[in-house]
Amino acid sequence: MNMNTKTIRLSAIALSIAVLAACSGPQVRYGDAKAVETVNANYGSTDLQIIAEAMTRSLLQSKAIAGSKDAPIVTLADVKNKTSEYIDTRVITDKIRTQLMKSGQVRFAVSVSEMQNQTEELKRQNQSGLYKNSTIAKTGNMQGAQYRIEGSIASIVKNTKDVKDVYYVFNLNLINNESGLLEWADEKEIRKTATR
Amino acid sequence: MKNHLAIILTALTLAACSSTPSMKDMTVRMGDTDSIQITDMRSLVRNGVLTAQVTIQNESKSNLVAYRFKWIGKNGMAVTDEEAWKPVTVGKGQSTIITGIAPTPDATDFRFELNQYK
Repeated sequence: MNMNTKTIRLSAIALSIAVLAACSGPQVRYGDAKAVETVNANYGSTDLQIIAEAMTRSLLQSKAIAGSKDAPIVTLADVKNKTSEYIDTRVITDKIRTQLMKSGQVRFAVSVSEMQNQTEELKRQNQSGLYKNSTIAKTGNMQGAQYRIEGSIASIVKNTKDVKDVYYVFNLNLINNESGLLEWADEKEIRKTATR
Repeated sequence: MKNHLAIILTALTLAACSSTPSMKDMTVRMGDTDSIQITDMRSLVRNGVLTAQVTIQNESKSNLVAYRFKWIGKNGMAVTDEEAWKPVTVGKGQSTIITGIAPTPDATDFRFELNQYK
């Protein structure tokens, strides 16, 4: 009899714990955005951060940037994704641009993808007739970029039943728009291996 | 008189030593990174930007470690927000040179941070 009561009590406690655990739902916590991310071998946040940082720092130390008297005007061209995965390369170049801007060593002219907004704003101010003449941003005063940044990301992926090996190589070039000369180039390699 | 001279000399030597922090003082360790030894640390200003070079050696078991630099400017202020942790693979007995470039020309000093990752 005594044994039976004990068993019932214990099972009741276990049941209530299970019910409570089921009701509590997923636990949410804020993580460190700068921490190493190793969920799987696909392109991830750590790769983005490593690539952007390595490229920015190397570019800042290049003679084209560090050696010029005034902060040179640069524009972003495209970074080609030659990998088999979907990678938003715009995020990489945007991150590089933000870090370069923060350094104060470079100025950026609007890129091709931002040109639409720029011309529309100029048209709106100049052609709508709604604005006071003295405050209008005049056309024909945009500054051309001295350099453009372009590059590519490529990957080699090898799979077996238990192992996935991914190798990324990110290339970035700084090209002088007037002379067409390549003023700086650097690459960053990343290898990741996932094993079961 | 000789005693006084000796004391002054020792004090001067100590003062000279304390002005440059040791490699241990410039390293911040987090987690289990005891197997990673820092064998060399140097820096110079290249093209106006502070560049640091740290040599690490893995003495025993293989360990998953990540590193980052903290760049310090005037008055000990950090020049930018924190860098991302960068994983580095160092095999047993292997020595690796890690190079860091400051994000702005304002950086005058640095700290080397080591952490383990999972």
